[in-house]
Amino acid sequence: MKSLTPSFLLRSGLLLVMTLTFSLSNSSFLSLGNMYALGQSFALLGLITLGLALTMIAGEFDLSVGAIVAVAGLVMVKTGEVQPLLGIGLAVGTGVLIGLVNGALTLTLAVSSLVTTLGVMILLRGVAVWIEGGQVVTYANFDAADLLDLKLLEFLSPRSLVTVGCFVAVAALLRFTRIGRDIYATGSRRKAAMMSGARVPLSILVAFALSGGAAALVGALMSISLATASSQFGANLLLQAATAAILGGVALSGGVGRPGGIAVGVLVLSVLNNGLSLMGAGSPTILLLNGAVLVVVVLIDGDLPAIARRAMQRARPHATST
Amino acid sequence: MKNTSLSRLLVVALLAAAGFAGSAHAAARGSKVILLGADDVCEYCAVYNNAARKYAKEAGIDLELVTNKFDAAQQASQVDQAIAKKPAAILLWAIDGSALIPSMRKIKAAGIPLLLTDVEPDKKFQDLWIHYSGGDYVGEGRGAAQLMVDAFKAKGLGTSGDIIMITGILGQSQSIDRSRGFKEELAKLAPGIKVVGEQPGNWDQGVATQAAAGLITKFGKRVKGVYAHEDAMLAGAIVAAERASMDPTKMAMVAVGCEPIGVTLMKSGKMYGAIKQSPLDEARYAIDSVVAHLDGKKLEKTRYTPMPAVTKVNVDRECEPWPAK
Repeated sequence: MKSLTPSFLLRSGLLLVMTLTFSLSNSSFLSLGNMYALGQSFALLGLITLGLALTMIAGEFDLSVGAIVAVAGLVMVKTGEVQPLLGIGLAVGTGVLIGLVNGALTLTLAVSSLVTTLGVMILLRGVAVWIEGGQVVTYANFDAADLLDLKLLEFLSPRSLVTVGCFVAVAALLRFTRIGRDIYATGSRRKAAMMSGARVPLSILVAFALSGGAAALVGALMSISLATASSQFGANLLLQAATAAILGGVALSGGVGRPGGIAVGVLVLSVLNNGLSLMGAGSPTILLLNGAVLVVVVLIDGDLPAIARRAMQRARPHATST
Repeated sequence: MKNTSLSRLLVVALLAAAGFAGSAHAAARGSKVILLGADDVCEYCAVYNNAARKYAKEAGIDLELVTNKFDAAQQASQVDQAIAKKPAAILLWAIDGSALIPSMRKIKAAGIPLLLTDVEPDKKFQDLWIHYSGGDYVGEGRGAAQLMVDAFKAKGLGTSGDIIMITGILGQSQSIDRSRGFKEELAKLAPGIKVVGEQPGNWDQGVATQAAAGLITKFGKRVKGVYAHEDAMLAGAIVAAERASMDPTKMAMVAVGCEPIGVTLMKSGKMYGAIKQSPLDEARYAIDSVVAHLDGKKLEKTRYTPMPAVTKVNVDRECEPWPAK
């Protein structure tokens, strides 16, 4: 099958090995309660990684996702007191708008998106502190929190289903629509894409808009779940999302990545962190192992096509190699 | 015959009572308790964590320590995991007093006893927890205001002047409460002393140095004193003052904590005083509360750790050195 690339198999294999290791070393790893915790982690990290990955596939990078999470959360709490759906809608709208600004700035200034989104990130952190106004911003609607994190089938929740839904939607977008193909083309070889009629500016705008929208949705839902919005939220999410994206097979150079792979990457990181936390590992250990797993995967990935080729040649010595 | 039966009955009754009492105390021993706390990266937290482990071991409690790096979403996830492990009790150092409320509701719904330490959320949610032990941040702020007034007097600065404030992380309840208590009390005690500027030091000495430097550049020699939410941050502000050619021994320098760095500064005269908050006290109170609850004893709702005002005069008596790891 086309989608079962050696890269995907490597990552899936890693996920399997980790799951086995953790379930053998700790009896509560496979408990339904822990699976629920894992599902919630996936819901959070998966959605933000998906958005970031879209910009990476388009050959760009959105550094502002963490800051969008904070701002969106604040917008949600400030406007969604009475009607949570309104608050979520406005928050996501804000995220999409910020994404469009990111895209527009990158296009018009003709600089790397690392520069533009860095500037937007710093600006947004300031905006978040300003909205917060030195107070603790609480969201008193606990019913919404209960509903959002309600246990479905013991390990799912509406929040994790939202993330799964977004993965399906993005997968459909990338596979079946013209803009999806354009995004891949924009990330692979920008000049060739332009020559061949791919709509490069539109692709960049769509990628950033979706990234902003996804990050904002994460922020809005997080604020409901935690019944609070804070300018400090999302501070750790950018690095985690980048790690998960790369673990998920998304190339920094662009043009490569699939939602299925991204989901596996997010799961690898979520399982790793969940398992280590269950074992009582401290933050330094968790960070160290996150980095180690990333390095190992990237190193093997580089050699993977060569390893696969040699393995195939050994398997069929009389066939000509393609 | 009757006497023998009666005395036998009495002996049996006494033994039963003794056995019962013994088993009631044994209820705490061996119990699995999960402490959800803050990472060792923060020195205060590291001392607290080590002390908690030590006191728990002495009490015979099986304490599992799960830490996070000041991330509310991570701690909420750890709560989900802790609930799945079904411990005898959960001891929670809420990394954010309001963001962990939904998690506390989950703990209550799961029927697991919840005791809080160090961070006291809004009292309107107090049905969610059995007991809080730890610092009283508003009270500390008030104590610091009194110290500031005393410092002004001691340094011959009178009863009016401008001061600056270096706070903890913005939006955290500790910072908000230590500011509020301070400002409210200061307004009552000495309306002439005004906080003309405040910046966050984020509980970090380096950040505090920069924050204070900015304020000192802006206000210059007008600044007669500094109130920092933590000794380590005041140390940073003192560095900034010295760089600006100001003499901290002539200024009203006040902080909260009485940490080892604060003790050094008080003895050298660069810091006037601090309100004590000891991680050892907090850990002791926290473990005691868990043991008491598991032993079936009734606890008051709140128990604040001692927060005496400390200056050079009583520093050796009040502030014990933090044990090395």
